[in-house]
Amino acid sequence: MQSASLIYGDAPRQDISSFCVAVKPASLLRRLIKPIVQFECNFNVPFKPLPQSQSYALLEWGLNWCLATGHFNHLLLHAAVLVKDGQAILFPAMPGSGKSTLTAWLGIHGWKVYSDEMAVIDLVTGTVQPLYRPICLKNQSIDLVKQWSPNAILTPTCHDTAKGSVAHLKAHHWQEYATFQPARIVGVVFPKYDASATEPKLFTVDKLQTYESLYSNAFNYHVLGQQSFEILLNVVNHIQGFEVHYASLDFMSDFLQDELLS
Amino acid sequence: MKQLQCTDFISIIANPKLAYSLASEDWQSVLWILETARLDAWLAAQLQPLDVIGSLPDTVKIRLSSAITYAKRQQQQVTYECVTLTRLLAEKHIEPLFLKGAAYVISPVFQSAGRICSDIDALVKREELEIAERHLKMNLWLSKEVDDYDDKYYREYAHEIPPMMQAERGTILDLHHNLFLPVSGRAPDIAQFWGTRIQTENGLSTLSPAAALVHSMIHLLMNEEVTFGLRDCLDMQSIIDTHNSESFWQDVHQLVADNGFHQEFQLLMSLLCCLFNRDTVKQQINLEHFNNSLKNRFWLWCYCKAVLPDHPLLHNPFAGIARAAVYCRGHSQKMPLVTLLKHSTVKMYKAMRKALVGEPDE
Repeated sequence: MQSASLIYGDAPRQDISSFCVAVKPASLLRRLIKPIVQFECNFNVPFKPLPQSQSYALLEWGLNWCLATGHFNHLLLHAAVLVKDGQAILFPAMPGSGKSTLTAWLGIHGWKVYSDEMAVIDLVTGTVQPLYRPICLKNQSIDLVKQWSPNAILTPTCHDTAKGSVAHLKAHHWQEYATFQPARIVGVVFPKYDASATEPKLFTVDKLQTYESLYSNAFNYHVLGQQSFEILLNVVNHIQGFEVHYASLDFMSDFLQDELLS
Repeated sequence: MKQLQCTDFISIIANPKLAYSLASEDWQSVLWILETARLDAWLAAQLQPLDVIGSLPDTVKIRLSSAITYAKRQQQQVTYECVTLTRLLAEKHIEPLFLKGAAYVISPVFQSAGRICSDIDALVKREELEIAERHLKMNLWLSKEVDDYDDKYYREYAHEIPPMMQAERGTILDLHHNLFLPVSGRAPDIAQFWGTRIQTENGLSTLSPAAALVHSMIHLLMNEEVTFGLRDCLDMQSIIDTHNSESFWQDVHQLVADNGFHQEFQLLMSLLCCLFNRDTVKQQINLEHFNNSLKNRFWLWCYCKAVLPDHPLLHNPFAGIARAAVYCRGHSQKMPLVTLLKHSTVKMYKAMRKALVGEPDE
């Protein structure tokens, strides 16, 4: 509860909510012995319960599930979205690729974090919309963010989750977020953090590969059908795609600025 | 979160125009209850021609439009699966006859806007069932894994085989050879139902509207499961609204009389009348005869409560008792008492074993 109000407490209350969610003790017995909690969406329980210490992480994962399985007004891609000067770059990536760390770093260094997890693409304009959600940091990146930004708003760390240790970073305050406008997508970058790399490696990704990667990272492509095909094609035809293996976050920032932002 | 009164909820279902004047806090409850009942896309489809969606609150518009997008896509998928299944079984000269949700979706004689299907129900002739199952298995339809007892239950007692799943697309198919369990002694004369079949332009078979109504009635009133009972009631009311005519009712009465479903028919008409209050249905009820029986009035009370969505935001007192009564009634209709006792004992033993030691190893 405290973590939820830390992350969302400044957002205005809505008259009508799209989803009815809760994280509750799984049973009276398990409230007392080895407490476990379950995520409820509209009073149904879609997943198995988790230890009480992982309550907030469960809530965030549950919210992702609600959107991915119940929102068909936008094309939803599994990707981080960073925006500068009104231009958006998508970062679809496999778990462990350093996407969230990169997102946090860019967010701390002046980029607008539209999402760490889900690109919300308008089916008519092809622009990407912001999502008021935190960045999910894992393992070493939690300490890194604390070093980079000692005043960052972070939830307490949940240990021993399926993703290791997890903490959520508030990317923006509501006041700032409320000014974010839909942004034109100018590039797709597939990042891969490689600590051993002495020099960054850059690969151009052609349109077909970019399309395939975005398609395979889409949550609701199969439901939207032709609409999602057309909008994704339109996006891919107007952007550049790169795969970048990097060890330096400064390099990534310069690269994005120089190569993708016009 | 505000609880809705049953009467308020039902009046919106019976007359969707009323949704236009709902307050924001009521909308939230209505949306969540409809989602549980798989009727959110249905309401969206009812509101679309009324041209009121534009004036609804933004979140409501977003949710309804999302629901209708999903329903349209699912209907496209259901049609594709029905065409594919018909072609596949034609290789063995077997004609599948599609039932319930799938039939409403594929045939223009039914209204299906916003109808969501959980699975595809298809009927084949009993003597063709084994060949159909084998041919489907050879073409990427997998049987759901059930233990030996459940397999025996399906094949000896039930009117269907264990559910099948298309390996690539995950579509679930329930393949029937009758509309009710033969072991109950109340399975209808299936040849009579086959005799009503109609075909769509692309060669897909369904029951006639009258037979579809009777089948949906059997499904609702002779089974223990009423989770989506309100959706079934809306399906049936929609068939009646669309096909109300002398010949339609003659066909319905013929099927009801020939198969001994008079009591169920009166209960159904009374239930639909309670929910939607249409004159066309009222005219079919023998009120004096129906109300004279305490048993009839009790079951009507139970079904009126049990078919409403089971949702904490719907104020439906004693619904738990009504659902329990319907559950027992459904089971008692499905098989003779001795068979039911044996079946219940095995089911209870399996449930207890699972609770204590988990699933048995394969």
